[in-house]
Amino acid sequence: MTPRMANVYGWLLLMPAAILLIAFTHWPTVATLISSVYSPGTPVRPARFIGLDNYRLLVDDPVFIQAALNNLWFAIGTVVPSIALAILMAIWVNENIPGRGLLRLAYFTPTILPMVAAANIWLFFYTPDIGLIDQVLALFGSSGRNWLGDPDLVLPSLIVMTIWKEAGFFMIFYLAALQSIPPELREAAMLEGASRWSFFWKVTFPLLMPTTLFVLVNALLNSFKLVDHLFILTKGGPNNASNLLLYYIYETAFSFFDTSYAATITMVLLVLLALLALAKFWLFEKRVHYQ
Amino acid sequence: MSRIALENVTCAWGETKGVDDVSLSVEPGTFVVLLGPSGCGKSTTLRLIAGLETARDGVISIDGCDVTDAPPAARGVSMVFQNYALFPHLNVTENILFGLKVRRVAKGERAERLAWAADLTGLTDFLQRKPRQLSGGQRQRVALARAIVAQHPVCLMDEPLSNLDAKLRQTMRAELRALQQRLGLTVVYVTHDQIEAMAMADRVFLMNGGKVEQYGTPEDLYARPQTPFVARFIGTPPMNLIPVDVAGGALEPGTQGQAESGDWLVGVRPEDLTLADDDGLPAEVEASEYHGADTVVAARCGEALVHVRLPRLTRMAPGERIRLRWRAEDMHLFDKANTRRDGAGVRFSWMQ
Ligand SMILES: Nc1ncnc2c1ncn2[C@@H]1O[C@H](COP(=O)(O)OP(=O)(O)OP(=O)(O)O)[C@@H](O)[C@H]1O
Ligand SMILES: [Mg+2]
Repeated sequence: MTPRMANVYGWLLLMPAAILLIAFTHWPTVATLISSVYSPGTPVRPARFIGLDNYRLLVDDPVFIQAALNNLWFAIGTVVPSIALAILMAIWVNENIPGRGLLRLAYFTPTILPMVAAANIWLFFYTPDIGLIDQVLALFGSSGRNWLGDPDLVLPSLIVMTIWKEAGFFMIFYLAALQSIPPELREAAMLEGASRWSFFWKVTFPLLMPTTLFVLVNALLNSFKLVDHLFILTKGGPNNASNLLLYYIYETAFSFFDTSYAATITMVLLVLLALLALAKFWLFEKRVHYQ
Repeated sequence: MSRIALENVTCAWGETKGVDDVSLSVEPGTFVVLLGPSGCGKSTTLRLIAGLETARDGVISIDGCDVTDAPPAARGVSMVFQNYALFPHLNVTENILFGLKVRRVAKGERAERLAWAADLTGLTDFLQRKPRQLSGGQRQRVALARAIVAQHPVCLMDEPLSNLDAKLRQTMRAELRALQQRLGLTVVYVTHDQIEAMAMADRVFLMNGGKVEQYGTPEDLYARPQTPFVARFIGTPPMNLIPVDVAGGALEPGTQGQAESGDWLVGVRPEDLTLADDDGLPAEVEASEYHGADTVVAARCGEALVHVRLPRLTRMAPGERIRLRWRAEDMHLFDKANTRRDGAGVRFSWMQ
């Protein structure tokens, strides 16, 4: 085959994937960018170029700012605890205990559930007075909280549910990582008199670092991508106290029909996620890795 | 008082017995080897001493204290693992000092001991490297340094040289032995390599099927094997075992189970066999291997394959008929019950 033919061949092989990617990822991105700098067109008034007007609007939009802040808290609140919980669970089900297969399955169940189903379950937990949580609290003589209706409680409530949903998934990664740590390391440390606690911090945790990094980035991305539960549980309310960026985009586009403003917020979210993805590649390149 | 003692120790998982009613004792400052084929319970015995495995039965004591149920760290032993068990994310220094840090030894003393251990093991130039940046032999030294830096009187080693190539193994063998003698360590060393055992040990415990088959100095095991298993295990090529019939004080080569007390085994080392011109055990040459200093001839003798070690280059063609002889005092006799029978007074007609 001539080099020229080889080139053609290569491009042909790449084509199906490239077409799909361009049609469904890259072109929509560009289209979104274009749409964010035009006013929304109607049959009466065609769209016209408005430059960065939409972006200026963003800065003064209190709902956008609240959604962004909410998202930040949501990210911080879900990522760290779900990782910590995942490590704990993984260590526990990695021990030689009776019924650990069942336990692993149990921990993994929330992951299998669709987010909408999970949200419905939690809706039942959170319902004031008749919900599971209130009923249990009633035994201790305290109830009547409106978990999803109170602006101070709604975001933490969503965070708890998300941790419950995600930790089991991350646990699988940690379990795999733990099983690749040779058991002799534990024995060698035991002979030296290391307690479980110091073995964890001096050996296990550092060896889990590559996994932690991977999970961390994915958890962060997830916290900006998760939106299903809002449809079931709060619809962003009360008073936008649980509104997240993605949900706000949806509202803007399909409730308020301001597609060009929605495109603007989408661009902001895209840039944010792209930065996260870049950070991920950079960290993996640097191999924050023990090897 | 012995440094390490096991009394009737049994260790089992369900029905499988890893170690079955083993008793052994190790004197202070000696180099003791646990030898045996794969799966015979060597590692399990070692791990029992270290406290990494719990005994179902029996008593383990170290320096006279009963440690049967003591945790590993309370036993004052250090261990070198077969795959070294180095912490991959720590450099050589941190690996060596891991235990001292955990036990909160003062910083100054730590530095002193590090220098001492690194010097003894020749690691001074590698202290900043991670394990993956070291060769197999260097990793082995790090594991060794980590074991001696604890300055425990007892050091346990589970096939520490088995991952090294033959040449390095030989050097390390000598180094390990020298280090043990210099520090006066009590070493319990596991290997399945009988040459390693013969070369290094003060005393060998030869194990088989979870039990100690025989123990003694390497010379003992070589010169007076108590069972056919020991006879076969020690020596390369191993001792020849020829089935014989015993008929009224005389030995007949394997006519199998005709005489009343038949089916004994006669053992002769390859180097004790000589070629005879006239009378002797008839055999037929099957192959011969020239090793330089000697030639090992494999010959068929009834149903047994016999190895004969002849000096220098001795040419023999396959199919050649020979007669073999040996002296009465070089002969080992094992009866039907696999026990050694000295002074049974039986001999071949051609023996003087
Ligand atoms: N955790 C375990 N569970 C069940 N059986 C075991 C376990 N560990 C060891 N055994 C069994 O105990 C016996 C002795 O094992 P051990 O590891 O002591 O052998 P070894 O002499 O060290 O062999 P090798 O030279 O191959 O290392 C083997 O038959 C093995 O199958
Ligand atoms: Mg072993």
